[in-house]
Amino acid sequence: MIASVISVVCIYIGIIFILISAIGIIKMPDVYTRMSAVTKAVTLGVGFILLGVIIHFNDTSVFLKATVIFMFLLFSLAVAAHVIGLAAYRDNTPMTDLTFLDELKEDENIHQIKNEDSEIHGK
Amino acid sequence: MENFIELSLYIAVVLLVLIAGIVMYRLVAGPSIADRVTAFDVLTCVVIGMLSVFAIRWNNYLYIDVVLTMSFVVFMGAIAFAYYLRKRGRRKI
Repeated sequence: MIASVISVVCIYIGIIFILISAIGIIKMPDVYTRMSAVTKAVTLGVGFILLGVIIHFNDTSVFLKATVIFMFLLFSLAVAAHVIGLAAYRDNTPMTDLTFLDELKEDENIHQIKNEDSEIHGK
Repeated sequence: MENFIELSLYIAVVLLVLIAGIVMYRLVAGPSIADRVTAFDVLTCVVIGMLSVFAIRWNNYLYIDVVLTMSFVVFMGAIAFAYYLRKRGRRKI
């Protein structure tokens, strides 16, 4: 009985985290900030819900499957957010006006100058 | 006590449906494609949470296998979207 109550409490904590990320996806001003708000909170929320499932079933196979699901989500959501952010940057998606630092652009300018130098010296 | 746990699981499903509605707004009205892909990721994660709650409600651990498949679908969908988005950006420049 206590295990059921603990699992329900874990599910509600996870739902609160997912709700926070849903508010973030509505209120944030920009694609990149939206992605940053969403990825971490959703991962934590799904982890708490899976913890509730583990506590409720109290079974080895369910524990292993839930751990695999959580690890896979932990890697895949972070990698997906990184790849989609890079693709959005390449697609010239506009940033918000509050942005004051664009380090990727500076890095690419430096690399471009170096490449031009090497081409000139190569010739 | 059983009734209380059952009722709280129902309320959890209702809350998850509400969250899906909030995310659906961004899926419909997002200004760029990356917004829509991100919203779709979150929507799939909400479905994963819903299936976990169903697994507890009907006391059936086979739902966990469905969740395992779904978590693979999230990754593949996002990577495929990003691949074509990058291709489009390269062609434009």
